[in-house]
Amino acid sequence: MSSGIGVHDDSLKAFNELKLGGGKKDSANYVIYRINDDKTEIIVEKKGRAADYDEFVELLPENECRYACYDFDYELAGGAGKRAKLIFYTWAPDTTPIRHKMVYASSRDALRRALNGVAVDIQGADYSEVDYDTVLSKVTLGKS
Amino acid sequence: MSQGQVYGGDEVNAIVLDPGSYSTRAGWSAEDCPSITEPSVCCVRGNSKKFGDSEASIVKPDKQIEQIMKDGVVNDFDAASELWMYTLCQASPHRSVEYLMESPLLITEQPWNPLATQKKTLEFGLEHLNVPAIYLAKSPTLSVFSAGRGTGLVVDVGEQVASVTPVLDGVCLRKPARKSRRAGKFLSEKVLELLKQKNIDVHATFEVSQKKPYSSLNGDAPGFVLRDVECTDSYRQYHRLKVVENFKETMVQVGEPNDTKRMFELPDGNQIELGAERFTLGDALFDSDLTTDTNESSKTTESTETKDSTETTETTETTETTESAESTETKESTESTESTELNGWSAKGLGQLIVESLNACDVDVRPNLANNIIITGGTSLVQGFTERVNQTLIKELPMLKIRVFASGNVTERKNSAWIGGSILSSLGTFHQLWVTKQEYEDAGVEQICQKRFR
Ligand SMILES: Nc1ncnc2c1ncn2[C@@H]1O[C@H](COP(=O)(O)OP(=O)(O)OP(=O)(O)O)[C@@H](O)[C@H]1O
Ligand SMILES: [Mg+2]
Repeated sequence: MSSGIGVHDDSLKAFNELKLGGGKKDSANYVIYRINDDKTEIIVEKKGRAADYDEFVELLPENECRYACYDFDYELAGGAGKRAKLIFYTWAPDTTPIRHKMVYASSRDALRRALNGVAVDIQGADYSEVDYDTVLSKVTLGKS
Repeated sequence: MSQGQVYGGDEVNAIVLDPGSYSTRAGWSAEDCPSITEPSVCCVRGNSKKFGDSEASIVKPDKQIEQIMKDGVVNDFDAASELWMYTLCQASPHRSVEYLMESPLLITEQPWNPLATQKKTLEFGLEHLNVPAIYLAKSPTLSVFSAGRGTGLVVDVGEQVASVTPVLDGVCLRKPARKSRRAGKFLSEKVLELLKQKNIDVHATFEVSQKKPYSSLNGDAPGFVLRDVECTDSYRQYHRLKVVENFKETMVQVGEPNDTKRMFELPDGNQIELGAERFTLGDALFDSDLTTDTNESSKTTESTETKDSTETTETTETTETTESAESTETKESTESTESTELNGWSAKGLGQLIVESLNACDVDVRPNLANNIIITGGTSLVQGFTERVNQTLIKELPMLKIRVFASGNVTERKNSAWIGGSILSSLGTFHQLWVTKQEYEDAGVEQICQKRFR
């Protein structure tokens, strides 16, 4: 069961750019999506390059729902080099009105299924669930 | 309104029905809460059946009050369809059926709703009520979505059923789901037992003509006068149970017992003061009764089977197919009530039920489920309930990070499925999911159920 809300073409384009950008210095490392005001489509709200992970997390609004993708880099244990993984976020703070939570949760699948190459899914209801260490531990486990 | 108009606009005016075993809720999409809530009972006199809270409160010598639901599903479909019609009309402008006939209808259902009831429900909507389109939405999915999650473990403690349902990306998993009867009705019965033990009679409000405060526990002599009312046993029981429910809502608590006294005055003036016993009552929801858990062996096999259906978390399609096969089996074996008793009803307390359900899920998804436990249903409003769930799970599942979410808003807690349905059905884009009358006529009820709602 889903809301039937669709995905705008630009949303996929932004994701593919993120994927192909592959950590190049000036390419985007995040995309933040929202549902348009008519509640018909998922659109890109913002994309760009965050200087570090915390800067990206600050872009997630305190009392509103969003979806996001982030190109997450991390160091392998024992100095075995760097890795990057694409992470998909469903951001729905517990303090958001029920109406918004319902619309975002029931529309997530349409976007998520359209994105190929996401390594980890994160469902966040507060900032502790999306902080660097929590996400890192899921990334290194290789599981969502 | 033609079909074109129904689906043309951005906002759809659909009607939403949430039939629970305690109450039946109805109202329009996009509204914040159901505009009508009626008890799920039928008032019978001779051949006449009547509905509604006010009807259930008028005493007549021959009026029987009968339950519509049993174990959280419809027991008497004819009575249920009349109750639904009544409740929907109450929610309709000018109580008009014509108005209803122009609006798509969303009905919530539990994942264990039998196929036969689903079919009758579609017939009710598309033939009897004659709405242009219908949708059956799974309650746990609506509850998990309304909490902002696609994945979570829904713990719904209502009147007849306490259920634990894992939901992955919006799909309810049937095999690892668990249910027991340790819910609101069970708790009311525990309250009644305790009162009996203490030789306290419960009189309904309508039975009392004069009262004077007294306390039978302190040995005071009663000072009430009873009215001589001619009524049926079921009528009397129903109204006495209402008193017990009020008592329960005020008095029962769960958590670390303490001797903080609380007082409840019965309609006959009897002032009951209780301390630590208030907690014993609440504990009954969490205690396991192993002597009556007839189900133990069947459940063990169930959880081993579970593996196949839960491993398919990426492709929900597969999950649905696996489940539809399974549910057809269940349907056949529930023909006799005997086997229903053995099939899937646990005598375990809520904490154990949650632990079992999690353990029956694939190990990969457990952390995400444990981190998104969604509490809903009227009985979860018992004081200390959420905290108790949280503490039990932290103790029982030390390897998992437990996070429990329960809306702080009472209306949302009691009506999460209704509210979720109301928001979803208000979206113009949801039109893709409605089953139209045309589709129903073309494909037939069997196909629609199997393809869309199993
Ligand atoms: N504040 C409260 N404290 C304790 N119990 C409560 C409270 N409020 C409601 N209840 C109980 O909750 C139950 C009704 O819950 P709910 O409305 O979720 O049930 P339902 O959906 O109609 O039934 P079911 O889900 O079992 O089919 C009743 O037993 C009622 O007494
Ligand atoms: Mg319910």
